[in-house]
Amino acid sequence: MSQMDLVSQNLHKKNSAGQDISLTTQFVTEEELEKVNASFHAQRRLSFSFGIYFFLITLLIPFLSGTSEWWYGTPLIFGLTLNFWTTLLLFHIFYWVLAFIFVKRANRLEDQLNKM
Amino acid sequence: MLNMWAILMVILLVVVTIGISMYTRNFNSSTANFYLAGRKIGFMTNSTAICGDYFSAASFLGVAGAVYASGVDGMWYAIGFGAAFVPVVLFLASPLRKFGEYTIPDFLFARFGKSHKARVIGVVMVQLICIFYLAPQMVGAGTTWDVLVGVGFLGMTPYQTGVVATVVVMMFYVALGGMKGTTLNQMIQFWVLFTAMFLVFALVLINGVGNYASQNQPLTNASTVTVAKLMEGEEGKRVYDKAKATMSPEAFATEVDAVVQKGDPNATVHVVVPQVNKLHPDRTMVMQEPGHRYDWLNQFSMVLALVLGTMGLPHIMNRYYTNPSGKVARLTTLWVLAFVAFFYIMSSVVGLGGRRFLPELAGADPTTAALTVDGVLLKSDQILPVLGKLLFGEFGLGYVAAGAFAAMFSTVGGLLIASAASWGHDIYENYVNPNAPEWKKVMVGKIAVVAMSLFSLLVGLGIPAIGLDTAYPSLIAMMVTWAFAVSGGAFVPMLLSSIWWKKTTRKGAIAGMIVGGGGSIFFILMNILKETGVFAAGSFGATLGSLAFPSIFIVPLSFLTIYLVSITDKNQMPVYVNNIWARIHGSDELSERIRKQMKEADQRSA
Repeated sequence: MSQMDLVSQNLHKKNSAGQDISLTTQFVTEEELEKVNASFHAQRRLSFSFGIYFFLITLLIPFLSGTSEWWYGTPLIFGLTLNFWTTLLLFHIFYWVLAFIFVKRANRLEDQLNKM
Repeated sequence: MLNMWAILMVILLVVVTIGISMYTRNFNSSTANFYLAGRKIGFMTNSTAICGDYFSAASFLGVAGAVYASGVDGMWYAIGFGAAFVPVVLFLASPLRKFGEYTIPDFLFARFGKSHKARVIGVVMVQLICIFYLAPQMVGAGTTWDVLVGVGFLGMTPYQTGVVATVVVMMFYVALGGMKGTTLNQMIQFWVLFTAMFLVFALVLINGVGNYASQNQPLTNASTVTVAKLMEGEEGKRVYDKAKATMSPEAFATEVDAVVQKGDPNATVHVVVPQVNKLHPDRTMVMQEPGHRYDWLNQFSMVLALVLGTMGLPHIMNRYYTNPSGKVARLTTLWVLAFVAFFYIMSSVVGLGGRRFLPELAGADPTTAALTVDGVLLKSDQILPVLGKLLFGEFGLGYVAAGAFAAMFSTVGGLLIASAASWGHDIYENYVNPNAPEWKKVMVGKIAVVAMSLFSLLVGLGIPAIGLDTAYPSLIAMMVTWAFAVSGGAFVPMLLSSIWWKKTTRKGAIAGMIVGGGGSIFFILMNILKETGVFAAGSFGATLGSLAFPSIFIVPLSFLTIYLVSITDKNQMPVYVNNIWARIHGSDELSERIRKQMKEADQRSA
């Protein structure tokens, strides 16, 4: 039975029972749902692993600012601390590169999903 | 003296804005066009429009001012704004676009089985966030007009004139231009404010940033105190003594001693004093070290409030529905991140440059000298226009003035259209008159824009009347942070859970929004009551009100609420959840097909 036949049959069935068919009908086939779930798991792994890196490194900065003198109090380049250079420049570069790599990978995943 | 460049450039900006709105008015034949520009906005247009939406007066004037006043802690503030789009691209951009609705309340309604309750709570939260975000824009409009134009019309003060002028222009251009006109305007306004910042940034770099930070001089700032406060305490430890040790003898004699000798304890004096390190109280506060603004807890909670809050801002998230596809939504965010990063790096450099140029050049310009004490600005938010003037004359000041108004126009425009979409689309089209013809739905959207604009006008004029501007030293930045806290609490846990955790239930999402949004508003009100002196120092209320950024506690609490309510909910996985899942995480083709099938089924049911 094709996916569209299945949907039509369901629509008819639920209509006669007087229920809201858009809520009681599954428009996606089991096969499609499997693909969606596979894609969801891959996308979730990707998003959350990048998310963990992002939040860990972001929160590492205030942690070091509170605990490590080599970070906030020791001049490194042109008489300025690593804390200063990170908040002025390095962190902006970090998060853009992180997002760039993520977008490349996420788009590749999506292309694979579209081909399936 | 009246700055003709400033007035001419602001007028030119207004004329261009209105011209674009007139040009695009015929595009708004349907609600999809009025609210979403037909979902055909490309990534470059959309990314510049998102930046226009995002860079408010607080970003344009406030971040450079924060860096000038606080050094590393000011830059940390910029990081909070800048990095905020990373979680957007990681977790929300593509799923929201694929889902293919109009607004966040629409998403709530569809995701949770046509839940009217979820949608209405969503609308309430959207309106609250819009009001929290519009209020500082109005204060910014009044203050900027006061500082940069300095003239009031029709018997109003310069502040009132700024608020009224901004609201009138915004009301006209958003109601007329809809999302298409607003998007084009935001794109142009973005380039005006971006190039204004670039002009000052380039001039600072060409002339040299200076070595104030690397010399590790004690960080000093200017403030205004009464003579009684100045002389309070033990001799040698008074503010008077600190100012005497810090200021030049000439400045101390004219600014401080001359007033003290008159003997009036209520008279005010301007002083420059060394700042305290809140993070490491035993260390001298210098510009290249953290600790001027935030203690350890607030270092964490401020950045979390800004990073998480952006994900829930309705005027930013609505923009993701205007992209043609999920992939374009990601690409858009990547460009946004590039613009945002460059913008905040420029802001930081401008703030740092202020420490070199103000002491060197302020004395030569009487207008600037009046804004400074011993070469230090009394109001740090003025650093960008002041540097524009010192390094590029009246033209520089005029260009920065146009940039400041462009920042306000673009942010207010985005907020008004988000608010109108929420009233007109979520409420009117769904509950008041679902069978209304398209022209009537668009008309209601326009009326909603006018109503919200008039409400903003009242808020803008009312803030000084209730004394809120004197309760907070940097009210604009504080109010923006409140808006981020409410959006972060109300929407972020709900959006993340409902997109990435299939078992999130309707009850769980509603409970999470109430706990997150309501909890944030509660702590903000406590903070206002504490700062306005309603709660006595040391009282329980004052303790509750001491949390400046509640997100660090409220966001996890909201997540926990969603989790606990969802797992105890009997109706965990209705059939429609699989359809929703396919719409959010399926291929573009499948996502669109399911959306259409659900819509057709809706029509059959009706």
